[in-house]
Amino acid sequence: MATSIGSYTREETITDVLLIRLPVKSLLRFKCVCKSWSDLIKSASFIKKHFNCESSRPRLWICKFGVEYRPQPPLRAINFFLFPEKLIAGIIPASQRIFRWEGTSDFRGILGPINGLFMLEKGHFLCNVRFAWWNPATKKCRTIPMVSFELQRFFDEHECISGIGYDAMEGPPIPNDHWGTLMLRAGSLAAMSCSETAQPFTSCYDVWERIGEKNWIKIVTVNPPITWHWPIGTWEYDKLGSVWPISYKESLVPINRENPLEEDNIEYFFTTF
Amino acid sequence: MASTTETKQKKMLILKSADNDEFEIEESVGVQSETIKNLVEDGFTFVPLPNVYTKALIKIIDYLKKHANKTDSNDEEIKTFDKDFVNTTFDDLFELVSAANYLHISCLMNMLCQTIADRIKDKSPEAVRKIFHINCDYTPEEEAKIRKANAQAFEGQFDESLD
Repeated sequence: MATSIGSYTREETITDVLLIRLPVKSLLRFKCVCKSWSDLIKSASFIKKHFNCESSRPRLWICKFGVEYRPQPPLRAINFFLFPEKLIAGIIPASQRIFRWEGTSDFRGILGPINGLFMLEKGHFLCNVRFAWWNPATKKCRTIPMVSFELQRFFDEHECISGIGYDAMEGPPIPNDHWGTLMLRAGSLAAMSCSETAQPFTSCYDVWERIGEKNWIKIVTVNPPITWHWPIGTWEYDKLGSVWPISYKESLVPINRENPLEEDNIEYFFTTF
Repeated sequence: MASTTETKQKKMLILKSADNDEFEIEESVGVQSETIKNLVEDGFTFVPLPNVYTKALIKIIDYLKKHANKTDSNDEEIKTFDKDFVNTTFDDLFELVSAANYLHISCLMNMLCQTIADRIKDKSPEAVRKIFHINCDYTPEEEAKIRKANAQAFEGQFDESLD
């Protein structure tokens, strides 16, 4: 057997095709197997291949947000449920709760996923809108700071869609030649990555480019590839709760800063930020 | 007499393993391998396989024969065969992956890789190192740092077994 051992440890192509079939949690753990595995798992080409690998299929998630009356006192909570891979007509599927946060009173919506990333939005008025990136598979979160800049068109405070753009200065947080996109709402900025911009959508988004520290220019308008999960009957969710079905496929796409801040934490985003 | 005519009708190939054993198979069975198919198209009937050892080649020929006779009715039989086929040690699986990769048999490659992935996904990094015969090249400090940065991936119990 001695002869064969060398042949497979040497062949990186084989390691590559093997590892793309593993779940994110296993891959994060296997980063400490050895340096070459870690470098492979972190590489942009591997992340892309892993995400596109057919062995992991998109799963159905239900995001539920609303007031829970039991136990007392009532509290607002956001819950994510995972549904089984096979749904059978006429049978209520068993769901598994995978995330839960309590006291999330001003949660507003969830966008995405694109490449396994979500953007979370909270706050209802100009002064308190906040965004954060979230990769549920790596459990990484990145809060997005408020930046003041001049808008080039009029925004109403209830107009929630503002635009997406590319941060030319810092680039998108995701390596690769994807679209870097930017959400602008009431001064909060975020960059989102996607490679597919052909999906039809009714509203237009503007692409902005940063030309100075706090100056942005609008360069082009595109149709966004972002799926919006917006509550039906926003102002009634105390009574009904809101439920969003999401088709989710996990990815290794990194969103963390080189030195994560204390606030880069989903708990912090929902309860404190 | 009948059998001779049959042999004449069916084109045969000879595969030669890395340890110089020769195997005769039908061309229609062999061409499921892209590598063999390309050689056959170039007119070869004798195929040396310097990267494939006899032990793996015997198993692979079995697999090719089974899958060459795939019909609608023997679906279950093939599934059972495949299940038994991958029920072996990691070292054997790696040997087979290496051979399937060299021979470009994509359905076999998929099945083997998925089997290995499913069997290692809940293992500890230490077990994975032993299974893949990898020496850890981190210093204890470096390893601790990676563990800390990916702490959530280390929550729970892991399988330490090597099979």
